[in-house]
Amino acid sequence: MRVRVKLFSLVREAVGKDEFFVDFRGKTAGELWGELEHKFPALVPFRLSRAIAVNRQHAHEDSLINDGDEVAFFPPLSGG
Amino acid sequence: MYIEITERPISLESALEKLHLDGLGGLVTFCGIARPTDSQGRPLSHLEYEAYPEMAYTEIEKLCRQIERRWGITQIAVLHRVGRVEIGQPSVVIAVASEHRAEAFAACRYAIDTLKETVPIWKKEVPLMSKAPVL
Repeated sequence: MRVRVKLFSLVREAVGKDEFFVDFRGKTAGELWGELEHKFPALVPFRLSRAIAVNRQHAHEDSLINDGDEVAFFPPLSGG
Repeated sequence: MYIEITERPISLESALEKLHLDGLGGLVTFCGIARPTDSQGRPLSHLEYEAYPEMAYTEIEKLCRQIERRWGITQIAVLHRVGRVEIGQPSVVIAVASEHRAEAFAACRYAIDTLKETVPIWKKEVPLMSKAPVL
């Protein structure tokens, strides 16, 4: 399936890209993160702290990903 | 309900302009201001805010709807800066008006606390670079 990946803040800076498409054969957001870690080892330090959104809704490790989804990864929120 | 995520300066006045105060007896505002130092006390040059705009709007809208359901409050304005925010300038402004003060205080507190937990916005603290000594 084809998934749109969005990265923000320090996660974006680590990879040097804010948005791209990937071909993903797994099922969950956590698996997608794992694939991205392979591709971009700079992501590894964020493994324990990063948060996930799927289609602009807060999500988690086990959230299922479908073809065409927009999946965002980002560090802990710090607005306000 | 009024929501704005903007690169332009924001103010309490701009939030108040968005509210209809007719018949209401309590107005509570919160203004978050860029602090001059980081958590270790080191001086900062300025802050940089970044948002996931589409999701940030949705999350702020959700918290406004929660406030409406819980306290019956419809007059709420939430403005958040993105981009460079100078020290001493507002980064977030929230205004809540209701019939009585108790709900307005509670709802305003709930709005800023929930915003910090759920709205995808990130702050970067940019240190004040000390000038190299002249030799």
